[in-house]
Amino acid sequence: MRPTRMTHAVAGILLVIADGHRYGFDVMDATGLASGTVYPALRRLERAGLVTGQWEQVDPSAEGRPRRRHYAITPEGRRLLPQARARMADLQRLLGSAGPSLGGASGGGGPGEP
Amino acid sequence: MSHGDADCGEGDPLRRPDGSGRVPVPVRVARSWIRVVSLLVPGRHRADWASEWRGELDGRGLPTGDGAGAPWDAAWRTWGALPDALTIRREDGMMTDQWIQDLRFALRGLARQPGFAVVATLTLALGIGATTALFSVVDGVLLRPFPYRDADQLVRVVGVRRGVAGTTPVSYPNAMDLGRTAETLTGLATFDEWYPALTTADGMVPVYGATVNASFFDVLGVEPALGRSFRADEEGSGREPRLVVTHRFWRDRLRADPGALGSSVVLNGLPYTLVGVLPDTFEDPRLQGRRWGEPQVWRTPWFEVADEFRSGRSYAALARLRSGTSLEAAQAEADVVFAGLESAFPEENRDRQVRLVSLGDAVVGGARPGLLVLLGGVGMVLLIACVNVANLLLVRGTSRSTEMDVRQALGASRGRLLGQLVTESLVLALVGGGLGVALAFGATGALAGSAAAWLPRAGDVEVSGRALIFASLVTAATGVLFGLFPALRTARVRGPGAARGASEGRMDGRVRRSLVVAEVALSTTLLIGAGLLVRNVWTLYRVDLGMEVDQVLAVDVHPSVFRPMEEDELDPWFDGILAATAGVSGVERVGGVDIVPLGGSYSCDGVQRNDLPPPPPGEGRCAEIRAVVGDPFGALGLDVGAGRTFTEGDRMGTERVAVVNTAMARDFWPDGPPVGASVTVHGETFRVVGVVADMLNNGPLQGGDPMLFVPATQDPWLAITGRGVTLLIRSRTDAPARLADAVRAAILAADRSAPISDIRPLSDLLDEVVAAPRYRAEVLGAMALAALGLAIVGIAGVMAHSVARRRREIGIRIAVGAGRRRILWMVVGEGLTLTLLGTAVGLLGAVALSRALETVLFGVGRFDPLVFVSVPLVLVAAAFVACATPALHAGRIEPTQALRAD
Repeated sequence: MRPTRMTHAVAGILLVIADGHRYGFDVMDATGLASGTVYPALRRLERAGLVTGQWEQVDPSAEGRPRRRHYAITPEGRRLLPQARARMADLQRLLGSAGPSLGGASGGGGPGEP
Repeated sequence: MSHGDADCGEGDPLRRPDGSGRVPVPVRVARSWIRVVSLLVPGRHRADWASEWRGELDGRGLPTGDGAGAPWDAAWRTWGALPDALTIRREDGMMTDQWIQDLRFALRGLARQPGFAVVATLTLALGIGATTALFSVVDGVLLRPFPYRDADQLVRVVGVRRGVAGTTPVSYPNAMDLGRTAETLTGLATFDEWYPALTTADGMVPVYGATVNASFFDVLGVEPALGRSFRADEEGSGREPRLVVTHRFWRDRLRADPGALGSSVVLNGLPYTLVGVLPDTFEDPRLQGRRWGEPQVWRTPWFEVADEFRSGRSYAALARLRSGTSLEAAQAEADVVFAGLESAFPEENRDRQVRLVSLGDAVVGGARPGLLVLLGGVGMVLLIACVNVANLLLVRGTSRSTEMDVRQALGASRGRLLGQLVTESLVLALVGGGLGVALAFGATGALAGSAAAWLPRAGDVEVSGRALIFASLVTAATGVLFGLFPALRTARVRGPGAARGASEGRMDGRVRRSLVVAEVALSTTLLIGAGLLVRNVWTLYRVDLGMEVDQVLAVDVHPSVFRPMEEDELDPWFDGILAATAGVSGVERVGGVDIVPLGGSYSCDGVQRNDLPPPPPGEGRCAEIRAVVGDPFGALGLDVGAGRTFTEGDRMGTERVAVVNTAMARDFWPDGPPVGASVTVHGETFRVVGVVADMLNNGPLQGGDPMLFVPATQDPWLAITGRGVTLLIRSRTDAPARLADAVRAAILAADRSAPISDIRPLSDLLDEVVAAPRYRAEVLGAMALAALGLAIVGIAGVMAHSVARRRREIGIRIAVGAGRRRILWMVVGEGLTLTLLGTAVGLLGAVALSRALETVLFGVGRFDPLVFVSVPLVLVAAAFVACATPALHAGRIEPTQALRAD
């Protein structure tokens, strides 16, 4: 099994799944990441055993819609949560420290070059 | 009959479970996108993978109980399916890292030149989208199997007469004899049109129906969705009337109530017991002669059909071939059976035979040549699109030659470079194909919808799985077609220092110019084809029909079907209706005819001169007989050549009189004017009292035939057939439609229960007659314009590149004294040379194409000089436009800058 690099995307996805966002599109909403990022990351996380995907228990013909697949965090994944939080904190710090150079924390000016 | 499970649920229990009718377009497009991308996913994961994406898409995109859904957002999100599929593929070890690297390289390369990527993908999307849409129409009309059991065993049985062109209906006893005796047939069904009126809470409503024999649905192999079809003992006199209805009738008129089975449906005042509801997938086999729409109610004959006259040919027939029997074998046997019927009943059956035609040929055979021409045309647009993109890639390749040199020098193999370049064109094709499929979803509906009135089966056309597979194949093929050659050129092995070899540059230039020539040639061919079709339609509209249609309003009324009317009530009824409509302000003249001119119905009934000995059986002559009321000749603006037309004195009980047209006078009485002559029509004697001018009763596509007019109430057949008349109301203006409301009110004031089934200007009928050629002209015309646009882009692109490459040379020319005007003309001249070459080649192609078009050209020769001269002129003008920018650019080159650069 390939080790999973704790990228910002992976960290964000782990955190929102741990928060209870279960479907791929919900994860997109919660992280603000694009579907082209979320799904490949989910596949890697599932393969690495950090999240587990499960099919909804409904009869598609009775419901008139296909079954949905939902994801949950595994105990291994849960162990990585502190690391994920730290990664997100790094990111926040990075953005936070970039704040002043963006034209003042008060937010009066437009976005400038970082 | 099993329909137990269909009864559950609410609303319409027979609706298809996927509810495909209500799925928003973006979700439908996204679904096909997922289906296409799923081909990348390894087989064992595919179903689950697709299911997950479908689940998310439908969960977000479809309306739910508490919201409308977000179809666009959900559909947009599915783009991620592609990277997802690629990830799975790689994780599965099915894709090497090199593949991924090539893909990344391609995406990065395209992102660097977004202008190029956008133009290339849009061009491909146009080509692939148009091709897929047209293929969908061809598929839905020509290829889609009919929804009947073993549909390829079904054949139409049409009557023919030895030595006479055209086909006729068949007689019931003859058809039954064929069905009974032929070993090669396992069943025979008959069909007759029926126009009953339905009693509803809101009054009488006309519906279209059919009288069929009891085995009709069994022969078709159609099981009703509810109830059953007719039983063998449910036809003939003395039986209780039974009814089978379509799903639509059941839904619209019976509120989709499963309990309606066994209840009564009142038609023409007679209660019919409902025994079955057809499935919503039922397709009308189109046995009717006229375009009244699809039959909604089906009954069996209530009279003893066995007593029908053997010479009364008014039935359509359908037979099923015994499994394993060829059409030829069945035809041979039918010939034998009819030879026997001819000797047994020489009076009725002289020269009568039947022809067996496969159901597919019978229904859509006529549409095939036109559709194939359009498919060929759209194929050319696709080819032009490919040529254009190949050209763009070549241009791009030359500008990347340094990059390629460096990469080769750093050790990249030729195969590796080739792989990357082909990957790039595949990505372009894939994105173009995806956009194209999205385009096809919109275009298919528009293409099919605008043809639904006259093109059989077009109403149900949609982008099918087959069309998507077709689109994928086309996409892959275009990817290779436009990508491989430029890739080979770009990634060719170069010796050290040969990077900017002049000879290779010239070679590329030659290839690019050849591509432009090819593109112009294809556009020329297409434009000429479209030009011929447009001219064709134009000519058809300008044919002198002999009658004036523009001022006439056509109103269908049925006197007898809605309430029983005694024979002697007919004249006063017609008098009342005619007087009422004539009193409407703006109405100039009023008449009526049983079969409306341009109505697309043709029949030839026997007419015999009484001063000549009766002709031998089978050798009598025929004319189109029309039963008329009022003054239809005046309403249509027909001149009276001799004698008189009908007056109020010509009615039931007075001497039977007839008016003939000039063609009939000429054909039947070559010896002199027929006024005063006596003829036998429909078994009665009529005296000819007048001659009127000819009209092209069946539209510009058919010649003027002999016609004979009789007063409707003197015609013994009108009462039998119970058909209505179409009032022809001549307006004082060219906008007869404005009279519609007043006319309707006037008719209803005269008879509150008068059934008016249709009111439209007579010119609408002309439009319908010309609809098919006009549709072909419009669609091919649109394609030709697209081709012209692509060709202009192609010429402009190549000239711009040529100018850029020759910047130094042009600079030197200007520096040594060449005038700017001369430079300008040098560039324009080069573009024009290419265009003229392409036009010449295209003219040859057009000669070949015009032969294929011959079957659909009526009003214009295949070498119409106007088209063959004007199209090359249009292309030359277009080339001027295309060269203008590059030429002006060349003229503005500053020698000092040009020489310093590079």
